Amino acid sequence: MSVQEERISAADRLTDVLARVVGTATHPSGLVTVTASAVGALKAVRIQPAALGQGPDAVGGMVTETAGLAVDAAVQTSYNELAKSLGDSMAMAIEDFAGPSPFARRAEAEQHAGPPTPGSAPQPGSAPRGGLRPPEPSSRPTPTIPGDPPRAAPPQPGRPTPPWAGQRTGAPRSRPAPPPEDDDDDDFFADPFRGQRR
Amino acid sequence: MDETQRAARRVADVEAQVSQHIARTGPVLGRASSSDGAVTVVTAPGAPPREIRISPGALNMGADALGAEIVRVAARASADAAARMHQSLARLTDPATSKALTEIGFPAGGIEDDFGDTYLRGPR
Repeated sequence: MSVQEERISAADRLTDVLARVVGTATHPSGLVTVTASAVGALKAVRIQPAALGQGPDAVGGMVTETAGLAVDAAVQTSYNELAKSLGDSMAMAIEDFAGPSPFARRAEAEQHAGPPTPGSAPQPGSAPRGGLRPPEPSSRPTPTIPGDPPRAAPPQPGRPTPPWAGQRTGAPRSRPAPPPEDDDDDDFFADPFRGQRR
Repeated sequence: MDETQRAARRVADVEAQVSQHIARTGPVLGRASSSDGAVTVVTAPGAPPREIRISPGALNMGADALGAEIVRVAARASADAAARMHQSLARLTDPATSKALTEIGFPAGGIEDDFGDTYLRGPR
């Protein structure tokens, strides 16, 4: 199969994966669970009877918020499946025009936002986006390397907090940037007479 | 320039045209509501629901029935959003793009027309 045929096949598979893959997310209160596809279609909405006591606006808000997370989970799973079957280079090519994966976007947003300040800590009843637990924890285990020390230790009471303490430890590592292309002529200028030596 | 880069450039061109169009006209949103007005869903094409409005009376239908009703209405809102997107982009994209949108899950169906200010149908 030529490279072009392989890419056409990959594009067909992308459509198939986006239609087939679903993600599931649960609200931190445990009152709402939503299953959705990567293109935003809701497949199932399970509401606990206790949620109805919080009022119609709260129920609508919880379903909306959880649906967004379920779609993010489905998109992330789609990217993972593509990378698994097509390889990283093809997945990156698709990311070029389909946009970064939800995890990459979230990690980038957190990087721009900087470490959280004490005043911005989420309140128990407010249900923040980042505080929602991922839909399928078993399918996205945090990679652990034997002998690799933990990247951020929990803050000690008597110690000052280091600047890197705000980094997420549970987030998967982002893909390293590709090495820059070596298009300069260092080798030539290092020894300009190499072709004339005998 | 290989095929993937060419496709990416074409996508970027269409995206720029669509962005300019949306900046002029506002976002494309689809809406649907259950017949008794219990659940109303507003959504953009290919995205999760942007807003889900539930009437106080809808809570009486029970948790399972309410969840199923939200799924039904959200599907109609998504179809409405896809139809509005087709209608909105018809002047910007070629028929092949329109066909491609249908193939990837955005069918050019009918638009939910029960959200006007009046029940009278406007001139065509």
